[in-house]
Amino acid sequence: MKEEEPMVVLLVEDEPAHAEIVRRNFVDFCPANRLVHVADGQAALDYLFRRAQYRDPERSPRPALVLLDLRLPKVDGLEVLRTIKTDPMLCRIPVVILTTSAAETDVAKAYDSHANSYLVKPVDFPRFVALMETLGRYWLTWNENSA
Amino acid sequence: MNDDRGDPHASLRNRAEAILARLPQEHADFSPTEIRRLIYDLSVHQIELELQNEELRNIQEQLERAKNRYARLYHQAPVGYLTLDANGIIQQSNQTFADMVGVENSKLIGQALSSFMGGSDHDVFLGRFRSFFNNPDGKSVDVALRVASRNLTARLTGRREADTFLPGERETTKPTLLVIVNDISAQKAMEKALRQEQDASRQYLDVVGAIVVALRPDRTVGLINQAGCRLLGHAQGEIIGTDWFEQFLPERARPEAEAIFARLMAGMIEPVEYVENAVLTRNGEERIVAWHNAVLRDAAGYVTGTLSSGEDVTERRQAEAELQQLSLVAAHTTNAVFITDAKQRIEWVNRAFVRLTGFAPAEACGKSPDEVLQGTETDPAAVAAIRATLDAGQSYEGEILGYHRDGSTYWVQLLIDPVCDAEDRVTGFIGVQTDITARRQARLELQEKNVELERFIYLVSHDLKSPLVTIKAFLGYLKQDLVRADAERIAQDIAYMRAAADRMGQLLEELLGLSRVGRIAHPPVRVGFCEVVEEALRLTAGGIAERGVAVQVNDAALILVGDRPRLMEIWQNLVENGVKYMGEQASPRIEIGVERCGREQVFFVRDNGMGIEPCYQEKVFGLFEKLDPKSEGTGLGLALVKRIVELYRGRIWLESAGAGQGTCVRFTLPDAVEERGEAQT
Repeated sequence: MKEEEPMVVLLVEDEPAHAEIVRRNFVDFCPANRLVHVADGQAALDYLFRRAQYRDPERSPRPALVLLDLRLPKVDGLEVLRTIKTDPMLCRIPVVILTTSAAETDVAKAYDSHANSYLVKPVDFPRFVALMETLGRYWLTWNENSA
Repeated sequence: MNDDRGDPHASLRNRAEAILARLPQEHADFSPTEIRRLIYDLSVHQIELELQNEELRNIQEQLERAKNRYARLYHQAPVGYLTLDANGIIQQSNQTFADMVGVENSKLIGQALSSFMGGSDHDVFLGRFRSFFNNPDGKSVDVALRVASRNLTARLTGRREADTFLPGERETTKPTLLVIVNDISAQKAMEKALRQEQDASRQYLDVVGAIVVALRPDRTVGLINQAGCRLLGHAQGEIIGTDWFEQFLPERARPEAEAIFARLMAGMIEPVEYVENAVLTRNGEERIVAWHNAVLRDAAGYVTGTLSSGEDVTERRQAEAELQQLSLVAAHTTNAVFITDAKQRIEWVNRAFVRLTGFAPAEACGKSPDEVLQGTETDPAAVAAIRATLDAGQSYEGEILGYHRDGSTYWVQLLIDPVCDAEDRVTGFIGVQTDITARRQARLELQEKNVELERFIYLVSHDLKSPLVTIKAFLGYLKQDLVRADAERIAQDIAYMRAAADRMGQLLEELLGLSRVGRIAHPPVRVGFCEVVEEALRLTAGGIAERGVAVQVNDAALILVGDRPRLMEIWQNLVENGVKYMGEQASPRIEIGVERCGREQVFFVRDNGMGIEPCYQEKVFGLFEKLDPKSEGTGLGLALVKRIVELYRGRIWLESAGAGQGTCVRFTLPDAVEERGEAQT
């Protein structure tokens, strides 16, 4: 199954540059998989609930992983997280917070809302690359997802 | 006696004849003349002898009479006389003692005196007898004698006279003790009665709760009862006889009290009926005593001292003083105070209450606190909570919105405490209101500032870090891309880095601007509304021209007073935003103006751009909030405008029918608008 169908990773990131960094790493480390990028919380929810431009299930396959920034325009990252985790259809999708904020309240709030992991974007480039490699291997290779 | 006398005479004759017989018989040869002379001589002798004899008899009779007289004196003396030998055995007793003990005199002789004593007296007497016998001077022994008919208490005193013996008594060389026995039963009984009387009086004095003190003219204490001892903390023995003023009055109260006492003693003034002064207790504590004084006089009318009854009024005076202080506090405190009865009807209010609420005491009294305190905007839950707490007789503490008589509002911290009587029944309530309007305002502002500060800290951890992450990451890629000589990627990397650096610069600049609001102030100036708007338009002319926006300013002859550059920034930012979020609008338009809405001047900046969904209309005023990630703004513009508006105590809000419907930003600047009336005068 895994080998046949590419796994979809939903990246929710408002900063275009950061999205580009993630995209480049993704291409390098998970070439078999597909990265979908949305730039705000509203778009992320639209995608997950297949609303508006994502109405067509062909265009919005269920992601195997959500990479979620916290500070997002329109709908905040935490709100997106809570919506996912309280929805019976979506709650099993692993959500990894990927943000620049190392604020304790953010970390606590994320875990309170059942984030599966909390990662802080490293300022240092080699570390950012190493993080992305580990992230891809862990969540897309080793981690056993619920069907 | 006569028999005794006859015998010696007869024996004397016999003895004389015997002596004569032994003498030589030479008288036979006497001549008749000689014999006659002899007979004559003998006759004379005989008469002489008879005369002598008569004399002797007289003397003997006198002696006899004297003896009888002394014996009568001895036996009829008012005190008992006993002669005791060294063992305490009665050698002789007079009739008085015999009568005392009711035993025949002759039967007393040979009996031990101690045999008339019972129990402990018996042993005590025997124990002391030797010393008493040997050295009786100045000693006396009180003993109870066992007498059938009555209780007899005798006081024994002694005189040691070895040669004292009564006439007719056989002389003896053995020492004896003359014991004088005084019947002191009556005296004892009287003493006992007196003592009982005294004890009873003392008990009365001690039972009395009041302090009773008698002072002697020399200022010493002559009498003090238990209550007095308890107050002073001294035993009675420690008080009696000491100088009252020196021992028991605090130094500062002494001179006055001494002066009064001295004049009382001198009979110069009548006693002060009632006086209060402080006394000093053993542990140095001062107690206030209210005294009733009386002067004691003897039969001749001389002052013999003072008698005072006092009451410890320390607690009462303290309570009174405290009450006085409290009523002063209640009357003069800046807190509004009211007191209600048990039914929660106001009975008393202080001046501050009148000031705070506008209700005169007469208006407030009889009403319930919520009638005069609360109004339509007051939280009904708080009012219900107050009612429930008071009905349960408990204390309430909370903050509520109060209403002045004229309808204006104020925030108070309200404290209501039940007042209970000795049986714990609620007899009323005391309410204290502290005007916290200003404090509450400051607290709310502080809370807002704190929220802002938190966002600011967030900025450091997120928004400022974000471009840094970008720059470092693309530096890394740039290095790789240079090696690969991938020109397209190199350009891309550099573009991302430049954008991030620009954004960082912009962020820092705007943050600085934001921090200047309220911190750096230009002196307030009067400036026309249109003038300010025109300046803002000049500064944003580039953007306006580029996007081809038609700007319309509704002329208004309104004068603003304030920090001109700061005020200008409001319109500058709003116009910039309008241009920035114009969207796909083919004929972009921005309208700027001011409208009077009731008592307020409401400014507006309206565009026909992208509009904004109602759900986001609050969010946009937050720091670093932007709705469109692709927009070039930092999310600080509206936050800055909001801060300036609030500086002039204004409000700002958005009106937009939704996406694509355009946006209208409205705001007020109460502190910057010069009212027309004022401008004209």
